[in-house]
Amino acid sequence: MVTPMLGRKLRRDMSRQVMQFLSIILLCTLGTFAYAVLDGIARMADVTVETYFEENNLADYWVTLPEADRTALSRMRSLPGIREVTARAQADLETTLSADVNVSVTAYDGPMDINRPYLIEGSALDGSDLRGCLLQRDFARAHALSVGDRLGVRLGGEDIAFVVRGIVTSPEFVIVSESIAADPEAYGYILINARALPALPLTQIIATAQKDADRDALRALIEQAFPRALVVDRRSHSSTVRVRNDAQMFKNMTLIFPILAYFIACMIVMTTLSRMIDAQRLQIGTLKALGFPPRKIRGHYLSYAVVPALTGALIGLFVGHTTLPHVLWNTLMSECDLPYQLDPPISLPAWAMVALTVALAAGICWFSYHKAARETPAALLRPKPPKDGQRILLERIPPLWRRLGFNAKTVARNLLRSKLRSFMFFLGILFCNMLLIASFGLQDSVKRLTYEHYGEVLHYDALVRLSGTVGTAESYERRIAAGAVECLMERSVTLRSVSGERTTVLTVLGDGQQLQRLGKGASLLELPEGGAAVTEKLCEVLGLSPGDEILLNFPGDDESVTLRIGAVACNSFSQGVYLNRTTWERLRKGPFTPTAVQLLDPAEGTAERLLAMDEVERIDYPSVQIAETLRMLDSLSTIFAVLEGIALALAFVICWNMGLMNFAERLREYATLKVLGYHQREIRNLILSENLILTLLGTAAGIYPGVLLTFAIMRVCESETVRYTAYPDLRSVLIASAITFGFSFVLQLLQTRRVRSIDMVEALKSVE
Amino acid sequence: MAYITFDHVSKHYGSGESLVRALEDVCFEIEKGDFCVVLGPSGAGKTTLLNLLGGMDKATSGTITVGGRTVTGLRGPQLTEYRRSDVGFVFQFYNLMPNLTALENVELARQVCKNAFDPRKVMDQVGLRERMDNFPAQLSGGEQQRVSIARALCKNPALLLCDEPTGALDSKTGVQILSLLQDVQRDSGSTVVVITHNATIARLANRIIRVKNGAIESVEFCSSPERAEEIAW
Repeated sequence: MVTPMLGRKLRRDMSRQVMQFLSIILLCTLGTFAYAVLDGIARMADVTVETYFEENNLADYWVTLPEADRTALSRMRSLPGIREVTARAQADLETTLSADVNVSVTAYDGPMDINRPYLIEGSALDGSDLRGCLLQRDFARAHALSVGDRLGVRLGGEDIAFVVRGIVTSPEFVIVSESIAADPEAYGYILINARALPALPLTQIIATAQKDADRDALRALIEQAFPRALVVDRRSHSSTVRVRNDAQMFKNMTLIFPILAYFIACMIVMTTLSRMIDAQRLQIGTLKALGFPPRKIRGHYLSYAVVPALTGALIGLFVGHTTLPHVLWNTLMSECDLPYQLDPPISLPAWAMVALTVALAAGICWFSYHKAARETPAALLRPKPPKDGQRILLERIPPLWRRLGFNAKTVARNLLRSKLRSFMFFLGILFCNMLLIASFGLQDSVKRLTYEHYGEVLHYDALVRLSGTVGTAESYERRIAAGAVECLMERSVTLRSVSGERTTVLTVLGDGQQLQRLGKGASLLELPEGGAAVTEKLCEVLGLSPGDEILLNFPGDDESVTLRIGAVACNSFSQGVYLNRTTWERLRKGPFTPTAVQLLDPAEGTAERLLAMDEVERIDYPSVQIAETLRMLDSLSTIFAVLEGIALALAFVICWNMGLMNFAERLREYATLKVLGYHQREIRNLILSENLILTLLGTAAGIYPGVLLTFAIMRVCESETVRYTAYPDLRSVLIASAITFGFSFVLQLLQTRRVRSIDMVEALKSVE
Repeated sequence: MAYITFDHVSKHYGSGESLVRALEDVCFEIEKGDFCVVLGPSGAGKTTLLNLLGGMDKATSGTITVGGRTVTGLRGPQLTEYRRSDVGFVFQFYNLMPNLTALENVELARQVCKNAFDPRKVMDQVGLRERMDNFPAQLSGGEQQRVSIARALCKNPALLLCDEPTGALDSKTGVQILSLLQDVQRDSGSTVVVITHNATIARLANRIIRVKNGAIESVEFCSSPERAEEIAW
């Protein structure tokens, strides 16, 4: 009969203190919710992408070489560790839809087993089908094309039409873009059989490795076998790397943010629970006096913690796992063209968070209970004497203390009397402000980085990309009408140092160039005479510093060159090596043949004239790139909104909870003030000023950690190829602080309305 | 007209089946400057009577007037104003602010009152000059009750209401407190109403109101009340 009665007591206690129990449940919910959401997205992205790659047999190597003929193919196949090989042709062609709409045409010489397209509609492409093609889903949707429609491409002045046999996505084109953001209106891909376009030369071999093969060693073997080829593996294949980086970014974000939120929530839960148990000392005494076995009493009070903590944590876990990841998926993965979305089960770490929540809550209950249970039943049956007033530090400075008004003195002492509660309140506000600042700061930073990179580092107005080697730098500089014309040459290069190697881009810039500002703070960097400038992040990855020697290896060239690092270049968005033209020519690795021309202030009509030239592939405008990047940032704004929502929700629960606690503990005091003839307004002002001081302190104290958190999150979001510096803006810091302060103020206003309902008679009833 | 009148005052709690009639049709008067003891066993309705008189609770029906003002007709802020300027409360369990010193507890009352006395003088008056800077927890029960009285006196109230002021004290200390209350009544002309279940204390009063089961049993007058020092229990 013992347990049912205690169970009934638990239920009644809960309904009587429903707000406190609710706040515990809510905090536990929030704690696991944030983690479940981010962990859910990260795993969803990871599992979806990796499964897609695995099932559709993503290539391990893309080898581009002058001629992918039978000999090359069999040489490739004979390398130990290679499983399958296929030769392909690849080219970007203009479509007959419009001159601005291009497609990347990939022509398979043989079955499409490697990088197997995922068929969404229609049928696969038969090996003998020379008129059919497989079309990218997003492109088809953007141009209202469906199975059976025709799509023409232009090759050598001739229009060739293909019938769309199937609508597909391809694992090697998860992120399809000519520049930054995917734009299916303007760019897509089709897959055809090589024999359908014999004019396209086979220049690529794609290959998969055997399961147990050492990928790096195999890559070296391939480079050795094809010295003139450009070898790209999964770690350098642009689409694959970008998708994996995105997935990794979510994973990294799950590390910092939710774990922080979780621990704050846990701390508040623990404080609340320990107070609640303290408030039960009379009942603990009664139960002990009645002769209940300690085990039963302990069990009863442990369920105080376990029931709400488990309920809250599980709600957070399930709601977090099943709702937001699905809602956010489309915006977050909007750049990725994935055929499906896999929903992995709740992960082990997420379950562990629930277990930890319950364990922490139960632990603090156990601790508080034992603190109380050590006393004799008789001692427990006497009410705990109210906490003594204490001299506070401020009083020891008489000149200052005397200057304070009576209310100020009271407030100061009250704050310090219940240090833990004040501290928790302070922490809640601090945390809220910190998260808001981080959220605003991250958005600031991305904007600032974007403007800095495209607006200042890239000091040109247009970049004309050239295909093939047609003219010399001098001829372009002479022919193009613009304020300034500078050519650059980009080459793929393998950079080796003592600590490792990376395949990256070598950019050769003209001597005395002005249009790329690679110094600190987008200042002009003098490229070292006879040495190389290596970007900051690349230096960091390879552990290099100025003065170190690096080895540059060009594809198709056995002889590497040795250079000394003369300077560190700052480029946030792409990493690589920079040389000036003189240094390049001294290396004797070929002439300076421009691959792109940078224009400042181009004259009217220059763009049209340039686009009409055969060798001009496309023109990039930094101003357009800024707009595209900002548009991508917009798609991330939902996740920032979630961050901000969680910050405010936490602040709400904490402030509310601490307010309730304050009321419960000091009801007698407020009632006495009421009896003494204090107006409600005066009592409200007293409570308000206490909490507003804490709010002010918490808001101010949250600024620095908020800025630090911004830096930390930017750092974990970095991949090997980018360097993100955080630029929290003063304006954002002020706005975040104002929101935090205002939010807390409104909460206090709402909560102090309870003063009205204090029943003097009830509150001051004698303890009998 | 008397200073305090209770005119057919009733106070009911709850409703229907569980209706509790704490006071039922109570009528009595107290004159200005009286030392009045409301005497009765526990549960008789004494505290309810005091709460109604002090403006801490509202009567269900009937009229209470104090000094010509109809307390039962006051609303919200007016009621606060009444407690603030007219009434001083002394509780059985003192209800001092634990984190204010003795002197500061008294200053607390002065904060809201226009013609208050100097807290230091009042502390002197209740014999706590030496303990002014101590916190309540550092004071004995009797000392705490004296702080509580000082807090009430500081406001210079016309009406001093004491709910079992000696209930938590030993006999000797209780006598000191009662003596202090008698001095107040004599020196400042305040009307003092003391609630108790202790019949001995009634011997100090010039008006004794006996309450039983929510109704007035009797009202007695005593022309020559005893001095507190003369009694013991």
